[in-house]
Amino acid sequence: MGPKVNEPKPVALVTGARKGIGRSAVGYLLDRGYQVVGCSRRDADWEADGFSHVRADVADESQVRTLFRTIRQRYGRLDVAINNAAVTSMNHVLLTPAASMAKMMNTNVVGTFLVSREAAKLMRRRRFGRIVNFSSMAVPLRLAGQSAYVASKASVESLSQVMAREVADYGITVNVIGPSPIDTDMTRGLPPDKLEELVGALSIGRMGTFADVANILDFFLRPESDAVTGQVLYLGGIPNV
Amino acid sequence: MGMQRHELIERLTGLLAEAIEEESSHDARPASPDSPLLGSNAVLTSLRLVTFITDCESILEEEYEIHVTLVSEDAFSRRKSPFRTIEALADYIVELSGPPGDGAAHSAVSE
Repeated sequence: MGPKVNEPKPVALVTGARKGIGRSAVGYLLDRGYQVVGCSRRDADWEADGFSHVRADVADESQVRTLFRTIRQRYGRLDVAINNAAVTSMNHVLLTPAASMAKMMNTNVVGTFLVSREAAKLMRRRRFGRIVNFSSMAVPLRLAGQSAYVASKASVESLSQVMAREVADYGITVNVIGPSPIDTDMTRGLPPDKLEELVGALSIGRMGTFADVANILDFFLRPESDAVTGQVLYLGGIPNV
Repeated sequence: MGMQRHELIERLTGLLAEAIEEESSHDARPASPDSPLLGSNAVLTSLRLVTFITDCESILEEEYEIHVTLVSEDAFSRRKSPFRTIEALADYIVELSGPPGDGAAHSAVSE
């Protein structure tokens, strides 16, 4: 649901906005009348009316604070934060370097934490906010070969659920989407047999689409969903495990 | 824009008075630079203190262009908490913001 006519346009932040689900989320929000700020570690190679891009690494606290300073100075408000930025790699746990684990925890968990924290500080002023974080179907599937990624996304779920309790008094909801695999650079990096195994384990045995995600965003973002918080909603159905 | 310590104490005491008033419409305790912010005698609940500290950061940024992170490992590990009173908090902000004219990317608070 978009903003009402004659009201100032609401403001949304999308992390990892340069490509994939993040880029689609930017388009989704622009279509619904939001002013959208995107961030990525690299500059975006595309533009859109109502969209501005800030180069920032979500795992870097000072860069995140600068990002929010920019949002505060430019718009003075934030209504929606979508924590999409994430990294993954696939390895047997015995062959997973500590550096890979640290990188995934930093971007996926610390990044989500920093952006959510700063978003909540800005959102609480208007006593309204919608934070949407991303998990993965790989969590309930306990997907072999993704121990570090699954651990990071399970942490995102727990972080979101505790944070949902702590910011509820400020009118802010925090929810999580766990998409089934969607055709992006991230899933293209997976071995085809692993991807097939993942999709085959879902009740809805097909690849996901951004339209599936948009449907859940509609639900989480609407004002009427102010009693929906701390929820993790997986797409693709209950895993057949 | 820089500011003086006494000005900072005055501003934060005013913010504390607002916070106390919001929390307890009747029977409100007066806010002063040495009002206890922590412990059993604290003038705010722990949740309200969270909001107060966040408001302090916002005011420093927006009104004085002082960009500091008040909550840090260092702040929590100190024997005497910088969050125990407004005066202690002001001293901590002075310390974090550095001396005036030090060329830092933020404005400073002077003694």
